[in-house]
Amino acid sequence: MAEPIRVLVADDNRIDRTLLSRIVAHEGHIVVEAVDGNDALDKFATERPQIVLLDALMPGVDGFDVARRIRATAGDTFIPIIFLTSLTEADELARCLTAGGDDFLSKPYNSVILRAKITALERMRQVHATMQEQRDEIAQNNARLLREQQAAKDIFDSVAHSGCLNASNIRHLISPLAVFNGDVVLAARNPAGSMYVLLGDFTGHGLTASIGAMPLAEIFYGMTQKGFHLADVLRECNRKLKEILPVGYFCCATMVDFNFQKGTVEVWAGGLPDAYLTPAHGGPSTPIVSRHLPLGVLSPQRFDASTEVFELARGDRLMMCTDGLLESRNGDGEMFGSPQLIDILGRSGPNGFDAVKDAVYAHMGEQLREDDLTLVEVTMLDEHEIDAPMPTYVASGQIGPRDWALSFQLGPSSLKEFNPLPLLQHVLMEVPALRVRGGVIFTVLSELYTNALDHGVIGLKSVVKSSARGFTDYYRRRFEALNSLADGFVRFEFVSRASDIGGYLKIRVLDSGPGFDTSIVEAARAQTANAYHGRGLNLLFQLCDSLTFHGAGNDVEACFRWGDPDVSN
Amino acid sequence: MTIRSEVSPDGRGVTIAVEGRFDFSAHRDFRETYEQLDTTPEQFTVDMRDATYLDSSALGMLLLLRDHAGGDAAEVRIVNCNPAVRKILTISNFEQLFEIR
Amino acid sequence: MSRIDERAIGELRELMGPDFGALIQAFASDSRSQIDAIDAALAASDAERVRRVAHSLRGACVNLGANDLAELCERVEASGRAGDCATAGTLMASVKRELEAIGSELIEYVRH
Repeated sequence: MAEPIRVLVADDNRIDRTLLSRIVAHEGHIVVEAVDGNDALDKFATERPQIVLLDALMPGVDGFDVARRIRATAGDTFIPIIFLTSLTEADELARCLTAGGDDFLSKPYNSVILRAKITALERMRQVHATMQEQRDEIAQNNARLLREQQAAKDIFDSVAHSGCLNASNIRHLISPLAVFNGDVVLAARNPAGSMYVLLGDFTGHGLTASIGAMPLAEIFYGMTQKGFHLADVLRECNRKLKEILPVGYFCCATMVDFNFQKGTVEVWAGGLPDAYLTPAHGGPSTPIVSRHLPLGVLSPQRFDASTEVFELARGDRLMMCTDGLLESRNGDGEMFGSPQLIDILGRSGPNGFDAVKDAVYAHMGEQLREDDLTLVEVTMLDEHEIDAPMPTYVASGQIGPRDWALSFQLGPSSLKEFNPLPLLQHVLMEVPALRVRGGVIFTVLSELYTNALDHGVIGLKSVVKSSARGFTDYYRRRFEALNSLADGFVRFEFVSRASDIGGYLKIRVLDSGPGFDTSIVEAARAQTANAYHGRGLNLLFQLCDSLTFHGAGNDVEACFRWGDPDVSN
Repeated sequence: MTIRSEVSPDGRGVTIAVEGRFDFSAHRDFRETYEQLDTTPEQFTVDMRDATYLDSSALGMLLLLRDHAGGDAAEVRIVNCNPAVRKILTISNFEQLFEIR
Repeated sequence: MSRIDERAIGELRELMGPDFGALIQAFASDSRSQIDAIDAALAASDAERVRRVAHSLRGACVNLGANDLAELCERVEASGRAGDCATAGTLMASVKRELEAIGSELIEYVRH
């Protein structure tokens, strides 16, 4: 026989009670006696027996009621209860069991039978106790998993949903549970003021789908902040995902560059359903079709970062969503579908986002599950209307250089593929006094470089914005010219001095082109020219402390000063 | 969901037919079909005639097959696609990696 | 003829060991109290009480192997359940006689 257990014997008749206690003790168990119902309840509470032998008919609280209350006190723990009875009628015996008893023992008490019953019930009790332990362990593990998931979700949110998603020209819908479906929306401004937005949909389910979103977000935010072009960001995102995701896992994505100065949007779409460009006041939408494989599929050598450029007027909108929204089903199993989306966009004018959202909710009705609906709308505005913060610069921590010069020259191979701006900007931002003007400096650097490369080395005429598809043609010509570039150069020369009371930075950009008619410089300085090329000069004059053209115009020097600089050096 | 495979008489090609929903549940069967071949075929054909549905995990499985078959050097065809299947393959631009009919 | 089941009482004696005598003593005293209680209940026409006490006494009798007495108690119990104090009262005479007779037999068992 196993370990002795504590047995409660509750019977108001002294003879029966004595007899039973003796039998139970004889089996090696520990006996606790009770003389009536209330005594039984008290003794149960204080002694906590493992098995209860209970007289069915006692004065005061009757046995069935005692059984009920013992069960209530025991809670989840299983306490076998054997009713003691001299009842012989079948339905009265049955009542013992339905009243919460697990067995009954008839008089005359038979020790063989009692021993067998106690053994059987004790076995049941142990099985029950084991199951409860396992259940408690499972519940604990479950609670731990939920806590871990919550922590993962918090990390995901802080990485993936920072940036400028709350800018006034962005509307978005994404579930708080997106960490479990692999959808991610990222938005940030670059130093030139453009806004990059990425919508991503990772394959897979649960947390594993979202793990790729973390390095993706790091790369997106890091490179955007440094001023890299869309294509460079895409290349690096693809490279990283290809490196870390197993074969068969990828991220369908659409990435866009909204340039508010030029009124253009540059797009790259790989694997997501069509995005739509809708005019400000409604009307037919232009689909932006996925032309690329998703991120993480192709090796860096084969990855294609080519983009398409569209011109937008103020108020025009881009809308993109993941397939979860288009495939959402109503009660009859019908999908929402892109025809319906296009129809709503055409009719809704500036209220497209809300109209689509309401329509999807209405479509799903009671089936509404918000965890797979991801929708983003970006509106083209004038630059001064954009309220999203510009990137801030964090230096490397070293004391910055105070007297330095740097010359950096790019030949044809570099000009074709390499964007030097982020690197040069990085160097300039190591000078503490320049950091606060980081955005301006980047814009100037960018403008000077574009002039030197596009107009100087390649010899493109500037874009005429009023012509149809002006930018598309421009970029095509630029692409072709760069590809066939055989010679030429652009050279940057930086000189900077800083002291405790002030300093300066001179940026000189020289190109191998023929220069231009510098007579327009004076007009630009007086802000009377209004062609784009002239506007570029306008901008430079506004942003720099001084701007000087040398030689044929292919040699320009911009200067920034602060404090009381000693420019004689 | 059923996966059936058939090696061509000359042993140089194998056709894998997917019946029903081609989704995550097909993962193990699909993989075993091509991993357990005695020969190493030069050409793989995935027959979608009886496939009713294709999702992103199926796309992943096709990529795994292509990787197994030699990656960029592989010859993998996807044939008998119905419009729904076709559409998904088109959005993902898989014709850049597979021959699709 | 023995009024008590020999095997039953024999097992009891073996079980109780040196405490057998005390048990029999307890029965003697408890059963007399219970009979008095039933008489009092009858006088008060409390059929429910009659039923309860008779039931209790019956149980002890069964355990002791006093089957005839047990059966008598059961009939008293049934009358009490039916609210029939008259019949119950009539039966009590037999109950008392039977108890007397058993008492002597039990003492014999204790002695040996």
